[in-house]
Amino acid sequence: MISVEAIIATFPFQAAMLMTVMGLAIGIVLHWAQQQLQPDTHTQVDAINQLLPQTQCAQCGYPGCRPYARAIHAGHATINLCPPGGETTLQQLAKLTGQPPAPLVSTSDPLVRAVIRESECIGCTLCIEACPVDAIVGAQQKAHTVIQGECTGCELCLPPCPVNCIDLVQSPAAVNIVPVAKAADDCVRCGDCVPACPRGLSPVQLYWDRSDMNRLETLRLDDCIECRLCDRVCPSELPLTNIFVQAKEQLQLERQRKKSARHAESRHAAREARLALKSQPVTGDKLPSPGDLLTRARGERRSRDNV
Amino acid sequence: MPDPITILLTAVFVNNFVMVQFLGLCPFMGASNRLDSALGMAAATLFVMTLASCLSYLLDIWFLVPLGLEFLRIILFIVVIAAVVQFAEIVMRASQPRLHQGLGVYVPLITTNCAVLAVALLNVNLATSLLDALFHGAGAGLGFGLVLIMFAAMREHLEQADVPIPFKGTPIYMITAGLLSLAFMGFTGM
Repeated sequence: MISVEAIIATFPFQAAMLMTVMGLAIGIVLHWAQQQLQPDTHTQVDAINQLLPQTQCAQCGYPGCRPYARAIHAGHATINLCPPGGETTLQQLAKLTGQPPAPLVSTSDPLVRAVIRESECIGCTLCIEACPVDAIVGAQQKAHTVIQGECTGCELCLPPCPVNCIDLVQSPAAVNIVPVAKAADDCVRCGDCVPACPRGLSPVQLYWDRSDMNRLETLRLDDCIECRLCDRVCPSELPLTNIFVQAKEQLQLERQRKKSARHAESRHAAREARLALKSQPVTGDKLPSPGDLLTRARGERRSRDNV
Repeated sequence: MPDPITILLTAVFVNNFVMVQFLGLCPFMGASNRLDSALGMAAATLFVMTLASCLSYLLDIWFLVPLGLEFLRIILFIVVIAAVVQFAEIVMRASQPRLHQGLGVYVPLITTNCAVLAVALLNVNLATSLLDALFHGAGAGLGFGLVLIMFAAMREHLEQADVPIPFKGTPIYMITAGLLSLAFMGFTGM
């Protein structure tokens, strides 16, 4: 039998003490770091917001894209509520937030635009109030019209119209979409096209990544001069240049879409600022300039995000 | 004792942790399939190695040696490394959410990178001052990053190469790593 005294005499107290103290110290330091270094809420909401299509259509149940981004960040909303964004946005959101991509609740076509049949419009201004990006112009008893370049295709103007004179039409951008031809995957990755390219591009990589827009940008697809030299050396006789031309068109379209999303967002912000001003009584003798209003709206947005 | 610069260069080239001492092969193979993720991994490992090397050296000379507790080295060094990795992850999540997202599970896995523990344990014999430990850790991290990035670049080229079917995938990576290792053996005796 080992006596208790013997155990106590051989117990490595110093070692136990050192490990306890170290564990405690590390725990405290890490806890403190966790508290101090919370990721900035505003940056995170921004990151989510940038992925959304900025149609401000409110189909997600939130009054715009940014409120939805805030709800996703706070964990109040799932990531599958954005029909205009479609599968692409869903996948990107899943990647960013780490939430599993659930199937979309419903789908819609982001490439439609609203058009008012002006002969039937009675000038009620109801659609003007509904438009989240102020893309409808007109006045009482005067025919309204949609600024085509500003319309996001959110369909919010359809329900308020008493005479159903608003149509949805395919936008010109949508007509141009040519899906990249599904060439048979005959590429053997021989790499013969790489030395053939006079612009130092890697056609083989461009070919394999032809549906990944970010990758195409990294691989400098824009530098392709469509000289068709890669077509000539390709042992599988793939129509490489034709594929690149189509991929270029898609890349352009993607860029255009991103650009108009930013534009729609700023119009939505301007509208919010205008409505906020309307609800406030005019106190001073000087009206704030539009620039002031935007700055103020941005400040409010930032403080809302950080709540 | 060699000066810190020599220690640094030795750790990067002559005693490269991956290529000469064959440590940390798991992340070397695992995180080198894409050049950009290899870059992120190299930076994270460099940070962790440098910090863990210094902290474990201080722990060793301030507590373990005076108290005669050298037998606790492995356990306590692992604890220190795990803490530094956690810290690095917190910092990264706060400052670089995108990068954090991209590296995913590889950041916590730095804890199990045996090269990090090896730096701490080798310091016991090699380092005579904190500066030595700092340069040794940084050199090991740089060496690891160097071969990781080199290997990732080679793998991206291998993706396009016409590799015979029996060698496709892991076998050709192993062969390539072996050749790279042979090349690094050339530094011995410098």
